[in-house]
Parts: sequence; structure tokens; C-alpha cells
Amino acid sequence: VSRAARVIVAAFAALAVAMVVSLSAQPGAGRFATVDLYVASDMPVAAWQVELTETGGAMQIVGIERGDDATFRDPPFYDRVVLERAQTDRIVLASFSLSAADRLPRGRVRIARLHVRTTGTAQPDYEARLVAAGAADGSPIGARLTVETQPER
Amino acid sequence: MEPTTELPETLPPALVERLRRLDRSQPIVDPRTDRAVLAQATEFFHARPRRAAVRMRWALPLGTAAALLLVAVLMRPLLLDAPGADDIDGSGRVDILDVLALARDRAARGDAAGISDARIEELAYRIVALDSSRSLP
Repeated sequence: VSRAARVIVAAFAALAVAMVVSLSAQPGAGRFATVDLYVASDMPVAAWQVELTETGGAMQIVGIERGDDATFRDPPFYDRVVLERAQTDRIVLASFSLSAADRLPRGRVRIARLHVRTTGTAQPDYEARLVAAGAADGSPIGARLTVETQPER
Repeated sequence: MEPTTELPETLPPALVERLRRLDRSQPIVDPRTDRAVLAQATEFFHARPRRAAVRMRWALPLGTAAALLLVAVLMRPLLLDAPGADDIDGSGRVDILDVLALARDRAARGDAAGISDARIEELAYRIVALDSSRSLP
């Protein structure tokens, strides 16, 4: 093998390594996942407000949907600037319904779904806090909030 | 027996009359002197009521301005922050339950409630805003 051929092979190898490094560093790289927020209450829920934080700070919210109950607004209220940010560590969601109590959800119900993209190697660490929940008559009620995440395909 | 009650009966009437005349107050100052003193006093004190009037003329506006300034300073936190304006349900904090209260009031009373859909949305977007100082959509 001539010296020129060895130089060409070395150059291609260096180019391949550079391409791999470049692809891994592209901003488009990352993992997409859904974050579902569930509220469980014995009483019908007419309003809720949730604060979601991602302690790693590497979360980008790309979409927000309402939950399973169609009487609530789609999407819930949220700060629209959050979707314009490349990364955020916090978002506040809220919604209400004027439906009668017998039409409101009770038990465990999904109130919102977030589509997020995370970057980096660390696993995202979500923390959600139920700021407020109310019954159809406007009175505050006790409820439990849970978060479930699933990777998107 | 008291001497004072006995005196008029024992003294002759003429003497009693003369004593009564002497007992009357006699002017010790001449009327002209009295008028001169009065004139000087009037002249001396003439300016005093006018100065008082001048002070009173400024006192009312200044007092009013000071009172308004005091009220504005005391009311400033309430007017600027106005936490109570959005605390519809009186819970002491502003959250989605206040939005629900507004919406229920509007649904129950219609336009008579004086609550617009824009007002309800504005409050809802304000409670979810990450930066409360930023204007909302």
C-alpha cells in the first residue's frame, strides 16, 4: 500500500469520527417523552392548577394537551413563552370547567399531557405540585397529583 | 343686733344720699384718653387679623395636599399590588379557583355580572405566567 493510500484512509477515518461527533452534538438530538399529570379525587374536580418542575433543567416542552375529560379546555392555560424557550425548568398549568358536578371527572383522571424533549445523558427528574383544586361550587377540595412519563416512539 | 341693718335707720336720709353718691364709681380716666387708647390699640392690632387670614388661606390647600399625600402613601401598596382585586373567593391567594369563581359568576348572571370573557382569560393567563411582570397574551 502506497503512502498516498494510507493518507487517504486516515483522512476518511478522521472525517468519519468528526461526523459522528458532530451528529451527537446537534441540537436536534435528544429524547422525546410524554409527561402525564393525573389527579385523584373523591369529589368531582371542576378546577385544578399544577406546577411542574424538572430539576435537571434540561426540559423543552414541545406540546401540551388537555387530559381525558372533554369538558375541560384544550389545551389548559399555560405561559405560552414556555414553548418558545429552548429549555425550561418550570411550567404552571391550570384549567377549569363550568360543567355540572355530575358531568365532572372524579376518581383518578388524567388532566394534562405534555410532550417534552430532553437532552443530555441525565434522566429527567420531574416534580409536580398541585397548587389548587376545586369542586363545582368553587370550594377547594383535597386531591392527589401523580406524574407518569413515557418515552415517545 | 347687726350694725349693718341698723345703720340706715340711724343715719339721716341726706347723709345716706350723699354717701350713696360717693359710693358710685367715678371715672378715673378721661373719655378722651380712653378713645385715644382705643384708637391706638385698633391701629396696632389691625394687621394681626390680616396675617391670620393669609395663613389660613394657605393652610387649607396645604392641609388638603398633605392629607391626600398621606392617603396616597398609605394606600399605595393596596392600589399597586391590589391582591384583593383578583382574590375573588377571598382565600387570601390568587389561583385557578378565583378564575372559576369569576366564570361561575358570569355564567350565573350573564352580562349583569360585568365580567367579560377577556377578564376571565386575563386572570387565568396571569396565574400561569412564569414571569408575572411580563405582559400576557
